[in-house]
Amino acid sequence: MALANLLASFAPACIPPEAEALRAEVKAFLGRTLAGRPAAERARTWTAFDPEFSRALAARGWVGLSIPREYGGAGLGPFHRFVLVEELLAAGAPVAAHWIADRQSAPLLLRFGTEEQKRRFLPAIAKAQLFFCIGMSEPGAGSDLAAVATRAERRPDGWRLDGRKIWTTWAHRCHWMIALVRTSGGSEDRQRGLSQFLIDLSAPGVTIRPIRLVTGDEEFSEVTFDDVHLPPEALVGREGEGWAQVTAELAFERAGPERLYSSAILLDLLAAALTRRPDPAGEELLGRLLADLATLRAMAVAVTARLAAGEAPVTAAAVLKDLGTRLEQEIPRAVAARLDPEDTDPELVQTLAFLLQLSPAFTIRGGTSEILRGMAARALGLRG
Amino acid sequence: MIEEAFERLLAREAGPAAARAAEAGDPPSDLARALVQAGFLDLMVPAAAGGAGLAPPDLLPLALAAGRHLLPLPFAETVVARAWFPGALPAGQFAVLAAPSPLVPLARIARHAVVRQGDTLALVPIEAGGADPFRTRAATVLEPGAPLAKVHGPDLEAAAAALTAARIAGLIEGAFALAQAHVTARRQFGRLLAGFQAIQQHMARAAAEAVAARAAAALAFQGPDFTLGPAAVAKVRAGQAAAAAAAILHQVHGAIGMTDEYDLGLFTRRLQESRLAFGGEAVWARRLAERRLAFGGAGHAADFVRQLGEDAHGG
Ligand SMILES: Cc1cc2nc3c(=O)[nH]c(=O)nc-3n(C[C@H](O)[C@H](O)[C@H](O)COP(=O)(O)OP(=O)(O)OC[C@H]3O[C@@H](n4cnc5c(N)ncnc54)[C@H](O)[C@@H]3O)c2cc1C
Repeated sequence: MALANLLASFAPACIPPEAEALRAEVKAFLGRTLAGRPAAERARTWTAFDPEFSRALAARGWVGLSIPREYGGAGLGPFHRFVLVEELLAAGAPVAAHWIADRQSAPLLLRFGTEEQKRRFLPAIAKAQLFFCIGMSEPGAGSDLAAVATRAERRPDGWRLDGRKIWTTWAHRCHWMIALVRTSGGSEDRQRGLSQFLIDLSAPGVTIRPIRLVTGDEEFSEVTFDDVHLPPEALVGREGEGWAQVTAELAFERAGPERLYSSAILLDLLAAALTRRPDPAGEELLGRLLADLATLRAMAVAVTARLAAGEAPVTAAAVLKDLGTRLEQEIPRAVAARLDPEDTDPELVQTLAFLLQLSPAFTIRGGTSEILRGMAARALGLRG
Repeated sequence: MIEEAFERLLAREAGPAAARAAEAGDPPSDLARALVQAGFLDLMVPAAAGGAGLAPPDLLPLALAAGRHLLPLPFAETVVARAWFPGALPAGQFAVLAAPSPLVPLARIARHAVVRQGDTLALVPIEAGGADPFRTRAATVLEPGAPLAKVHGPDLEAAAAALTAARIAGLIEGAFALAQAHVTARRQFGRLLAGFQAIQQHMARAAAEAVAARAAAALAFQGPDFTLGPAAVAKVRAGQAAAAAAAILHQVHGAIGMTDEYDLGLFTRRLQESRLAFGGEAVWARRLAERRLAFGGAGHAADFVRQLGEDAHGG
């Protein structure tokens, strides 16, 4: 039974004590650094871009935590990273600048990159000197990622890149993009003929135009490549293997605690409101949401154990993200529904307003829920 | 190993036919004897008292299997009762955990119950009566006899909720297997139901609920004892999963799933019964919220849920 395989990939796991030991230090640092930061600011957490903060973390060895020491990282495993990330998110730290590089670009380069690429990029990522973005989506290729039309043509001196990426989070402030592009064949070849490249966003021919979100923030961009020259060493992994690589990358992208904690700050504001004015319906809601959060956290720890075992838990990560983002979306909706006219804490209203505006994105960014369920259905043997 | 032996035994002797026989009033004596003889009931009896001295994490896979195979005996409840009252329950006898509840599942099959008497727990013989609303051999009234033994310490409500959550998780898995077989066999519009994207999305949702129910139950089984916080998480989340999965798995079956003859109802009746047993999700949610409010304003939600897990680890 395929359900049994899925259940097995969520076998209960515990964070080992040596990873747990990191927590107190991180908590103390964040308590000092973020004191007095308003809740609505904290709610932005992994979408708030603050290079100075990222560098302060890097100075403590907390960027690229799982990059091996020989490449300038701390050489610690996925459980250490889980503890660090959980604390950063819970505190609402502004971590967007180094987030993508830390979460997926570095692990991708470690797995598929050349020795030269590792030496060049990993130490700079760990120092928070180089920030990365994800170049997957295009105007004509969203859920249907295999439809990417941006093309790299082989040239004697490397590659020539033409096309357009869109919805690229923080491209306008990042230094490098790792992009999925077509290197052979046409759209009818689907997953075949795709490759990943490291693209220097300051190269001639790259144009970046920020796009404003419904929240009013300028967080993602459109990136146009017009006859951009890529050196041979820009290729990541093997030519034509882009699809398999991007699938592994997406497991890193989807497996982390950022898919459960995006709205968790509202649970603290709700608890505070209930302390001021007890209310049985509010308590029921708080308990229900916390039960869901506790369960999802246990599932996230279980998936981290798979990562620690060197696996790429693609389906488990998809299921975790589907359930986690449902909770992230339900929290602002349910807290809005019980807003008490007599107790309008301005912090609560501000944070709620922000999350109500942003939360539709939770089930879209990183792969839509429908696509994630399609992946689960395939793993269950229900689709060819 | 214990797990596989148990699974084999249940695959052979339990399942829909055994559940139906028990519902019809045939006591499942062969199954009971097989469990006793294999020593499964003494798994958590302390080694000093002649048992296997295992802990809740070892019981979890068996409690899940009991649900998955519709075991018509209060197996996990009896394991826990025997651990709490070593030697007090007569050989071969089964017990239920009678925490406050509108109904106690399988009480008509057990002759004993653990009940709260003031601040102690007592093992008592019972006469089970009242209604059996889901036709599953539950009881709404338990007449207790004179206590056979008393104990101070274990949390009866937490244990009852935890075991119920594990039962739910197992039942969802069993019901899911039926649905999987159904949607890959039945055709409409010239193709398998599994070929429709709407059905695939339903099944993926149900699978995710199965995962969540099991993860929630596992939290309540992680420590040396059953404690209220993780048990509340388990009862709330598994209860929600029961409601969601039962609805979805019926929907993908169509009318056949609504018949008494088809096995789906054996699972979904027990899923609904388990939600009611020991109180619904809202009650347990408030118990959890009380703990959150007592935890104070300095900690984050993340700290609170982590500390629940640490309680569960006994650390
Ligand atoms: C805030 C935010 C940040 C983002 N950051 C990045 C980034 O940094 N890098 C990057 O590459 N991308 C990024 N994205 C893009 C994101 O990955 C895509 O939005 C997502 O993959 C969906 O693609 P789409 O928007 O084109 O929607 P579409 O694919 O057009 O989907 C629209 C709707 O149709 C449904 N649908 C589509 N196909 C199917 C199907 N086969 N079956 C059933 N339903 C289907 C979808 O589920 C969805 O509900 C970001 C998006 C957001 C909102």
